[in-house]
Amino acid sequence: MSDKIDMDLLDHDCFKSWPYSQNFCITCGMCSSSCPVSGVDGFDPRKLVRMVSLGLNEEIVESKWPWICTMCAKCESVCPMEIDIASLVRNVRSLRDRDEVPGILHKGLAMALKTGNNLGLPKDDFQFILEDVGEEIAEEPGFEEFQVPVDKEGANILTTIHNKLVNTHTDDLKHWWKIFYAAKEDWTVPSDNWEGTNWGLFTGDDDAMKIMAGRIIQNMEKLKIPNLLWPE
Amino acid sequence: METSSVKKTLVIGSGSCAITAAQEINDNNCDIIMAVGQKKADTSFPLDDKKIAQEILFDARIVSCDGCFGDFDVVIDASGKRIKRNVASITIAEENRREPNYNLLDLTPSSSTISLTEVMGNKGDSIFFKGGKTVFMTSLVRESNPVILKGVMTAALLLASDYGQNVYILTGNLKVGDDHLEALYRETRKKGVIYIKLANGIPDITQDKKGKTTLLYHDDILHQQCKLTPDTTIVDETILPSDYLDDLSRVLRLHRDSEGFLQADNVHRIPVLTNRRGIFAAGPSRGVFSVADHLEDAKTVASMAVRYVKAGIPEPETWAEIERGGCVRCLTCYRVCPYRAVSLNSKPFISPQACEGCGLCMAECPNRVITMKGFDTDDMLDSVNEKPAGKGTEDFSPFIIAFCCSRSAKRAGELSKDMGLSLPDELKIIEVPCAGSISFNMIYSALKKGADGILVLTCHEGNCHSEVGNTYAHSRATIISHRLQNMGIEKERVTINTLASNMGKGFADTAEGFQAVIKELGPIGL
Repeated sequence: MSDKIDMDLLDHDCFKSWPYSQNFCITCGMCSSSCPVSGVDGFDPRKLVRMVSLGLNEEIVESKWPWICTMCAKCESVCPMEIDIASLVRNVRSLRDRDEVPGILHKGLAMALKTGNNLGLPKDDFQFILEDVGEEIAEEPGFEEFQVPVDKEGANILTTIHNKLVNTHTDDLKHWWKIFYAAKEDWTVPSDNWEGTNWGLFTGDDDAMKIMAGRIIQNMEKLKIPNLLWPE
Repeated sequence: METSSVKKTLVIGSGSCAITAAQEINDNNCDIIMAVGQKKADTSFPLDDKKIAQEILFDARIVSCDGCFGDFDVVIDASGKRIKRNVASITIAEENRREPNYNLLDLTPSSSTISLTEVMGNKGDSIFFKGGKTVFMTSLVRESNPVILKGVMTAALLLASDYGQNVYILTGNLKVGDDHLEALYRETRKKGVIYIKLANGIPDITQDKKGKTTLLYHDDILHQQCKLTPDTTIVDETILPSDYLDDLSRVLRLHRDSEGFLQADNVHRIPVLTNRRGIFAAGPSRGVFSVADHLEDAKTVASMAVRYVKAGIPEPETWAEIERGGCVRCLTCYRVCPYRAVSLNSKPFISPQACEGCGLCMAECPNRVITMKGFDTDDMLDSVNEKPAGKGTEDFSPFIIAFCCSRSAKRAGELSKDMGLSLPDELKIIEVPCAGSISFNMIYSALKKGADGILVLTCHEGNCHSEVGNTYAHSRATIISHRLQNMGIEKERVTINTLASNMGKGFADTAEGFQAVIKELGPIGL
């Protein structure tokens, strides 16, 4: 921030419509002391709330702080004035131009909107990986009959998949699947729009968030599945 | 118990506290006189309301007051006429004055820089325009209180909602400890009032020729310097005793607190007592400001006043008496008595009803002609066995006499025994009503009895029921210490300490510690 803030130049009402009660802040500091990343890059939740209350709109959009927040909402649970601080942080995230969204979040989200998953993994490759892992499970004693059900209509549970599980951590798929098998659960994964992460949620992009969630619901409707297991 | 033949009660004041007290007393069928400072024409006081008082005197000032609890003879100047009345008790619930805090902030009043009271008065018209920016400055140099904050928030809310202004409140603290203040705070927040807390010091303020301010301050939350140029600056006020209260304290010889209100900063006076029995300080006159507290005080005072009229003054258990033949009218007792129990007739006379039996007068009387029923120094010390002669130094167990104030050290001593704590073998406790009654003579007599060490144990500073008893005790003990030193006796042999009644361990530590010191010094060898 600049050397001196001229209060006369600020529009204190610019975030007045936000429903997070940020104006009730009594600057007690409970949020800052409960925040697990308080101090990282100087992150101070109390200061961020004050910046929103005063209308320091340029500064909060440029700041790294809203992206350091883990959205754990400990601040919300201790705030005596019931300010929805984590929700407020997410709303600040939404103020950034999309191509200014940090790291891979924007690129990953753009890819997911285009292809159905953050990696842009083609359908064939996806199915190949699933079968591969399924075969490895079937080699284990007790799991000889194991198979991965894909697009099974009328199953009981539809489950999503985090993209890293079909990228660098394929072994971690086995834990869920073995449990399903042992419990004789009637489950399935979709071959399209299987992505479990939702970076529209992370980046404060409500429209993208709705599209991603909507695709999963479409899968359930198409395959007539009543229950959703969404580990994310 | 003698029922007092005096049936009237006097209430001084005209605010809500005084009126409520009067009404309550009246409701209990007790006669009441009200002495109101304002002239009849100047007050919105309900003039003929017999529900408040049988007699209301306007433009009234207390000129003199003789007598004591249950029987005060008061002379009141009412619009130039001198009126005498006889009352059982006096309640003071006089309203306060407010002083704008311009000086505290180095501000000059102007059309742009005004005080809180002026906002709602005539000058307020100048800031009642749409839009613009107003800053309130409160609780910055000196702590404020909920009553002032209520005024600030009410005014801020008005300006923010009805006049669409940008309102800022610069404050050191938010004292919302009174009815509905937190709700009012939320109201102001909803209307966009911005609060800026300045924990350390005041902003940098410059005023232009028209009196408009430019403020530079450090925002403690943003950790940044900020600049603000309001159209109007409003300073808060300090609530202080009125000039009349100053007069009353002089006429009635009442102790005051550090700000001048008619109740010393002494826990024994809470809630509505003063240093004089039968004279009560309520609400604004004792330095409490919120309406809820005023009503509470009014009820307390009323119940006490009614009780004293209906059930009479409690029979005194003990009191000091001046032996008339020996008295030389030096007036030392008159000046010393914290309870103002000495009245000056042909010779000084101590009223049993006003006397609290502290014994300060006894200790100070230069002719030693004051006695008190139940408190005889010679008797007390006679009961102390003299130290058996020939106690050698190898097995030296110091003979310690401890003079203990009845309200603190005596009780702490008992507690220490109940707690089974270790105390010196040869410790003799002598109880005195107040440490202020411990005279030079008593300490010398204790030395004559062979004490190797003498402890004088008093209440903590500020906690003495007699207000100054412990102070007297401390100065006497210090003087004797020095005299002993001049005589070649170690000054530590007379030591003074403070205790509270709940300090059982403290008593034991003090006594054992003192014993260790005296053991080191050896027998006094007088």
